Amino acid sequence: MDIAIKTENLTYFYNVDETGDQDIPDVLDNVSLEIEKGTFVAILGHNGSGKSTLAKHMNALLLPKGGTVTAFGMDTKDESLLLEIRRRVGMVFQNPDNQIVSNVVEEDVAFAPENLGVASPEIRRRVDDALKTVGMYEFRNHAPHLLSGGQKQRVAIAGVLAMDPECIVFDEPTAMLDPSGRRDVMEIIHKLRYERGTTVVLITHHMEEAALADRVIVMSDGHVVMDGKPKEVFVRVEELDELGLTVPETTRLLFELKNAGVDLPLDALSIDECAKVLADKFG
Amino acid sequence: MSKTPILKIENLTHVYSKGTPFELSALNGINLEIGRGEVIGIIGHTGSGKSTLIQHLNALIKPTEGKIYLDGKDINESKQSVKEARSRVGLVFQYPEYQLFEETVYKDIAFGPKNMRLTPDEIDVRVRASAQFVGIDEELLERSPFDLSGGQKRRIAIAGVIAMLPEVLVLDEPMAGLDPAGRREIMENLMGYHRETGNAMLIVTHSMEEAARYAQRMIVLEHGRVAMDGTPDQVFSREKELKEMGLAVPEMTELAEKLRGCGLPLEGTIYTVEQMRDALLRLGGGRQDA
Amino acid sequence: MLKDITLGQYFPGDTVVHRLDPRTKIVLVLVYIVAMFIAESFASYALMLVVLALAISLSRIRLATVLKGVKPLIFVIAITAFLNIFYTSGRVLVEFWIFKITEEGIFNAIFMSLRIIMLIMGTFMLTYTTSPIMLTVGIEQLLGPLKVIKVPVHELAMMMSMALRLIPTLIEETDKIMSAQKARGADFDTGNLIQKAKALLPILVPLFISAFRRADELAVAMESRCYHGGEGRTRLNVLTMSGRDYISFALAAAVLAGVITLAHFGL
Repeated sequence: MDIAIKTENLTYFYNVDETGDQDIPDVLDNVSLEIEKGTFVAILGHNGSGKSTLAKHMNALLLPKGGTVTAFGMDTKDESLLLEIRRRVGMVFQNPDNQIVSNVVEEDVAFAPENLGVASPEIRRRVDDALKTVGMYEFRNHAPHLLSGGQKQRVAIAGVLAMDPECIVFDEPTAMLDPSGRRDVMEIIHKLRYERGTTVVLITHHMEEAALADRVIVMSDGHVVMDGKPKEVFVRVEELDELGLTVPETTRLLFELKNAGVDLPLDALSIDECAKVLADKFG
Repeated sequence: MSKTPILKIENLTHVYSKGTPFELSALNGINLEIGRGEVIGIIGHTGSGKSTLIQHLNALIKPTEGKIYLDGKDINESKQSVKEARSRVGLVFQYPEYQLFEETVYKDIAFGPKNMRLTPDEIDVRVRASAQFVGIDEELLERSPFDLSGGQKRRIAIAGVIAMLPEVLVLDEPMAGLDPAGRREIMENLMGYHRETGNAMLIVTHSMEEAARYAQRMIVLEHGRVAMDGTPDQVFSREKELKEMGLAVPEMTELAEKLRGCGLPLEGTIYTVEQMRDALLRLGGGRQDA
Repeated sequence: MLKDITLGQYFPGDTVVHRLDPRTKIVLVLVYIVAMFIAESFASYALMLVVLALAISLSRIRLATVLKGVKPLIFVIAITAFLNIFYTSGRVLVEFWIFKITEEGIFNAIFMSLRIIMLIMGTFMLTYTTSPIMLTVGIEQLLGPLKVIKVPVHELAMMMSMALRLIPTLIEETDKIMSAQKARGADFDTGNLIQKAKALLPILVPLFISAFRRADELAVAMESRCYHGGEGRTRLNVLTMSGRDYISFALAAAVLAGVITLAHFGL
């Protein structure tokens, strides 16, 4: 398989004077990972586990203090490749208000291709295409600050899509959204992964979102502590509880039943799968 | 109930920008009574009027029509009554950590009590007690709030409102953006505060599961109206309507419906893992080793 | 309320005025301002009023909206009018105590207030019908020649557009923080000047912290979207002058000439 992002012994710490009096710094300690092209990978972890710091290494917003990070074969430390790395690895952040640069939706979406020196007719094509992909084309002449949180986040995603990236890193994109906004963002992620073959890295607190991924990576104190298919990771209920995380309610139910002496497989993650397992057992 | 309700909302209507082309009716004839010591979950999607409603409860917004009575007295009657409402109905906004401003945690928590003109001794007692309620150590009181982690800041901001000892504590999405452990901790702190003081609590949330876990009563708003008002059992038994409103029903409720569709005779309303477990165990008690 | 502030607000539309090249609009507004200062008679004011009315009606922006922009400056206008009424010498109409109201004073007051109101309305037409980005693109290109003498034109334009972008967000934020502090019993209305200034701290401190945090996050987001200064940047909308721009220039020249001629003949 081709590799999109690769970290080798990635180590990172914040200098004390860098953080000033900010939050407790994240630390990464010898993280080695390979993210395959075209896959959807979710990264879980409690606050301060290092997952955001890891994400910021993927498009060279941070540079490793030890080890290396390569994006599509390019070393992120190579300054001459900086723009190419950032174009191919897009990034969507938590707060949509703080990533929109213009007062008009379509001008905001055009920002990245403008920076890249793309010709005007091609920018127009990309902007329209990106806005249609996220379902915000009718809003192209609106002012972003009058949109809902979910709509703003869709505009922010369109702004990244306009770079034509091969990989998009989503850093807690749904944390500030209501359930309908969250659903919209997850639908877009699904579409990008299955219709465009974009590599997706999703950092999240929501287990139901992670359950949709091809692969789940769990971080704690700067280390990767679990790595596998959602079904393989979520069955480790007790360990996840100890890490201050949780499991989807379906898994929790199967786990509780198992504790009560009912012999059931724990890996029926979706409601449909879970219903089937239970109907077979109790029906 | 023998006692009068602590809050009574009568025919409350609110229209934003009345008389302009941007006119927007946010609340439409709301009637509610909030009993002393109740814990209520308020649910509704964005734009259902939740934020507008809660800002009426301490007179931050004045009704276009209708009245709000605190302990039987109209809160918008005079300047004095407004002031009283502000301290007796505590309101914690979304992301309250962004409103911290003092040099020390202690001073920030003391801001509310100070505005109530309490004596320094009373203020001191309240600051320490409310810090304890939200699980902030004494030694952090002299630190700058800006040195602390996001979760700690959130709890300090909540302590700042608790310190006014409001008889009704209203919280808008108190757990937004926190990780699962952080969410649980804050909710447990709040429930501890509720048990100890017996004060009423209104929690606005998007999470049906969390509302059901902590609240005895749930109010569902839609289009500025009260669409449902009852115990979690009563509310979740109307699963279809909830879905039609575009609200996310708890996973277990959905699972229960699927299982009933498969012919499993599950009893009662189910919205928590525990309820589902018990209902299933009652069914298949004899077949455990099948 | 704070939300009523219209400074820097843009009302999207698709009218002739909206479609004019931003450079044209900037030049037109400059010509309009110059003409407003030259105008000093009924005839020339009437001419300028027609120009303004034409611009407003063509842009389909409601008159009430344009007038709202004037509201914050009502105090300044009132003072100007007041000073002009009482401090202009000429044919006395009414006299009491130390005040004299003269015919010239009344005219001056009317003219001066009208001039300020029309200047504000005219300039606001520019920001109402031009998106901030187009406005900065226009300024950037008009000032382009200054790059030769090392003026950081792109950086200045970018700063301006970022400021315009953040204004609505920060206004919303101020509203939110004010409500939150009021909920904790903060009182912004009573007390003397010093107490009032002190009462603003609980708003200003969080507002500044939040503005810096936002700026920081925005900078990271811009970097992620390959921002690297003005070099090699292209545009979604390339500025091109078309027929309507040249017609507007011709009309502006005619109006300016008209006002100058009227002034010359003392009309």
